[in-house]
Amino acid sequence: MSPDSLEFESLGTTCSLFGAGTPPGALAEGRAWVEEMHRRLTRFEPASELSAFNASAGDWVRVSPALEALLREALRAHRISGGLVHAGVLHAIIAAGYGRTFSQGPTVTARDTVTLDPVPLLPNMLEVSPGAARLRPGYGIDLGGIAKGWLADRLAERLGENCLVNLGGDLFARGAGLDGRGWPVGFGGTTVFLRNRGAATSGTRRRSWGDGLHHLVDPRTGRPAKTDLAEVSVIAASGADAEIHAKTAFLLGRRAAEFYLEQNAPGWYLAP
Amino acid sequence: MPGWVLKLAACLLTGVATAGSAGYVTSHLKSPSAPLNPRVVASGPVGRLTLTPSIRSSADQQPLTFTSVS
Repeated sequence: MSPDSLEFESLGTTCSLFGAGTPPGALAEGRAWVEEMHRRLTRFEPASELSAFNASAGDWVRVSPALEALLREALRAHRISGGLVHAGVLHAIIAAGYGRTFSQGPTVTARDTVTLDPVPLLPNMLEVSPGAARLRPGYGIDLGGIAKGWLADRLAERLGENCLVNLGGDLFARGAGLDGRGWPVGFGGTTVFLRNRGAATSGTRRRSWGDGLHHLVDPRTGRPAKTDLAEVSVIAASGADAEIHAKTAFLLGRRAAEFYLEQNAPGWYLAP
Repeated sequence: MPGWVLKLAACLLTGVATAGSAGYVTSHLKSPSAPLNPRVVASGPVGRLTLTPSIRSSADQQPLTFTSVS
């Protein structure tokens, strides 16, 4: 027996949806929802809600439930990662050369001409209240580091009791899968059966464009992270948690990552 | 300047260039056993996968999809 499936490009990556016993049209509706979230949350489109929010730094701005939830998720990610998973590094990412979609190629790197300081703690630059949020002037939000796992969790809720949502490698498996063992997912060189769990991978084997230049900024330096890991994969209770733990372990580096993963989530890492 | 001087100079220049090139090539032979650059320091996964008992795994089962860097 094979599941219903749908693969498409969105969020700057490849997305795959699988369902067992999902209603007709559910996967197509799921795709439409992902594309709507992309239009709303991308930093690469000036007309997106996120771009408008970043452009209004300093003022309280009305935000949609989706953006409000993700901004709160950004604060949660910052808190449980000890400040390492930081959505407020937009300007540092742009200074490193990631100023447009990755498929369009890097932009001018300003790292040698711009003084990049450690990024302030996220609660010191972002305030969220019901229906509104305010960003400190001079800073910007990039949700690329936390959104896909969170969106996978939310979409799995919408698709039904037995489904697998994979948004560019950050995924959530809901239900028992096709044969009751869980959904088979490739993870660290083996296949794991995931049931009501998320998985995510963080690393620099993609979205890197030069000597030490990549998309994962270390908020402690304001520069692309220097780490002795190439990638980290994690399994957690949700796609959002998996994404946070994978990024945290990656930024910590090999020695601390081993301890961190033992304490927080089953994981696997690859050293270059 | 007589024409034969120019011809002689051209012949000498050609000879010097040929001899110089031959000498350079002879002293810079490509070694098939030269190390790769950059050197490969490790290959394949070197990580450690620690799964909790609640997560089942199988090396034989084909996965439907993968977690991966995006």
